[in-house]
Amino acid sequence: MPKVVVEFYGTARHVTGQKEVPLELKEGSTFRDVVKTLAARYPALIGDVIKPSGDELQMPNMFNVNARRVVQDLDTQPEDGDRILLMFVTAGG
Amino acid sequence: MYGYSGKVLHVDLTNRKVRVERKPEEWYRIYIGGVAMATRLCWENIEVGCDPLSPGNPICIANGVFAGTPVPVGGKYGIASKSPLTGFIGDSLSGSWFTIALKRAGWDALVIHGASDDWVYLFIDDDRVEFRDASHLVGLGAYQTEEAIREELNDDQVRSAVIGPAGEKLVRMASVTNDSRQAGRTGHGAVWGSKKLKAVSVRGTQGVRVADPQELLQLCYDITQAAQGPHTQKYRILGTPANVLNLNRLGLLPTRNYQEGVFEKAELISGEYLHEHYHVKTIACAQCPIACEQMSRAKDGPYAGAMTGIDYEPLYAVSSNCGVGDLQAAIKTIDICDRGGMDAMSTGVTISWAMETFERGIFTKEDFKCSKYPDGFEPYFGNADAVVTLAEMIRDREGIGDLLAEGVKRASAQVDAEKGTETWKWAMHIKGLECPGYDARGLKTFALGLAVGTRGACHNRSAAYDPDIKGEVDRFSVDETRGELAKSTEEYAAVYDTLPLCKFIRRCFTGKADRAGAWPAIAKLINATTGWDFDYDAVDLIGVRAHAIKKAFNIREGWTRADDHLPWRWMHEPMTEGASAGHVVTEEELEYMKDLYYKAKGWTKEGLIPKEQLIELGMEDVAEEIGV
Ligand code: SF4
Repeated sequence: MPKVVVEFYGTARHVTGQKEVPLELKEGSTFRDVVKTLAARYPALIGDVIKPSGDELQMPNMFNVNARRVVQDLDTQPEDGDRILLMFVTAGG
Repeated sequence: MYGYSGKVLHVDLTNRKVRVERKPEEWYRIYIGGVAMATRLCWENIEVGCDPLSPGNPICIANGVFAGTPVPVGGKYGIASKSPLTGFIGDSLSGSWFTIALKRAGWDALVIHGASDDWVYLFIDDDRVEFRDASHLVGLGAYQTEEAIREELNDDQVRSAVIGPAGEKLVRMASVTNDSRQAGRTGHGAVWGSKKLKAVSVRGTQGVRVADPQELLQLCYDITQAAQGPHTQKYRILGTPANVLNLNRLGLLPTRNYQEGVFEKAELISGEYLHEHYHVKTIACAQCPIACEQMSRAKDGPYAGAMTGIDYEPLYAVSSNCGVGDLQAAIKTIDICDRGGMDAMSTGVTISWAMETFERGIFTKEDFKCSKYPDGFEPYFGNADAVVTLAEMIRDREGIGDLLAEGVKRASAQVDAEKGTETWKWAMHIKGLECPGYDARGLKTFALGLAVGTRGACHNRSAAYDPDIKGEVDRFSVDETRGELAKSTEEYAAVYDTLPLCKFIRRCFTGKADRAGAWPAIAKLINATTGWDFDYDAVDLIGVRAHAIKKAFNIREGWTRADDHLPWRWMHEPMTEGASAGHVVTEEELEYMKDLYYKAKGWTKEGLIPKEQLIELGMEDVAEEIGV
């Protein structure tokens, strides 16, 4: 079973009070499953971070895997050991 | 004409005369407002080739088309002069009440020529202009000046754009302040100081006529509702300092003068930490339903009581980039910059260069003698007090502050000429403007956007970090798409800077920030305000034209392809830590991307603009002067 860690930044951290959460995923789980798991565990994310449907990220939030690549398709699968950063598109300031 | 008065006010400080210029509607359709109109006025009124600090460099201020209307975040103006830092176009934006007052006074734009012999401030009382003695205001900080003028004129509705002590002393990174907001970057405050112009104060008592008030109100209502939702949550809740941890994690947070992109004390300077410990309240510019400005106060220790609004860019510059993991010191330094009227980004990056130069043994303690430390001090990275003290010294041009007040390009050139050193290799600027808070070694599309930027290293004029950070392209490599991306993102940003609308509203029209999501809605706003018939293409052209006039200005001032360059460090020294370690932008990559970019723009290989292109954009006179 793949184990991943989701790191929370910005609003996600602000509303959950968590810096990161380890998740043990079922075999074959997708990033969408990660969104669903987070929505169930942290309902405060629904609205600003996760769409009310509970299975999609609210723009401008995104998943960045290992600070290297951004998940463009939620129906792809994370790999064991991935660190998934839940963050904003950074702009302005 | 709706939305505009059709009038530009010209003020001659040398002869103390004013005149009114009427512009045809076609001119407004091309230049719209904000940075494009201000740059166009600079093009029309500058003595070509002049020293930026000479009387031949005009101050050009242009309201936005939406200033003084209910359009959310439309209360902004553009300001343009030839920049004392870059020698090219210096175009900045600021917002809030000053521009609304100027519009209500009946002026679309203001051009200030010449220079005064004595300190003066202008009082624009609707259509009456007074030249008032400002000698008693000299030395006052920016906020104090605004307040003193309100008291003197006995009217708390008078709105002023002012300079602080930094502008008076011709600090090249000095800014112009209005309603506690700054028109920063590129050194406008020094231009004002060179003219002995302390402030422009305005009382505007007239209305702004719009073409279809009912339609405009409905549109504005919908956008205002959306502006309270998830699309702006980042700005409303934590503000832009939320960027600190994101960028640190991506290995892009400038640290110790851009030596690294990861700061070990990032948590301590994060938006989250700021919010929890020092945030006092959130405030907004006039005409804004978002409110992003995180007013923050140092609570205890040597900087207790310092208070100002904290944004990401000033924050990284005076904290991680100087190795300082202390938010209270950062608040103090930014407060010094804001009150003193100078750009905190350029100040921080110039200080970090001085710190590295000290750590490398080129500067010594002796070089840092000042009234506070008569024997000098040691500005090693992480020395918070040194950063605070150096900001004060730059503002006052005291001791080594006199050198640093010239900006990092000139300061390094002077030191290298005197000592035979190569400090320019860690002078982080492009065209003379100090770099922003994203390390371009890990954002290659953005590296191109910065290199070709008309005002130098600016994160606001190029939005090319967007495809890099969103992962639409691989941020560590280059390919044939980058020229088009740099073009498209800078022209996109130029639409917002010309209307101007604050870019933080960009997702609030339809939920999507791209052209398809925003341009049709913006066209409706323009049409309801002006009665014109703008569509998607016409909105898109706003950005193309804005960029064309800025580039044309630079070409006439002597720009060449070699000016589109990156700091040596980004091209030769990879970072060693974090997610962006190991990368540089090589000379070959940069030149390849520049070729792609010039081609995408339809320019020559040397980056010059063909005549036909300018004629097609309605800029025949510009084509005549600089077209090829
Ligand atoms: S979002 Fe922030 S910067 Fe933009 S207009 Fe509002 S308060 Fe000003």
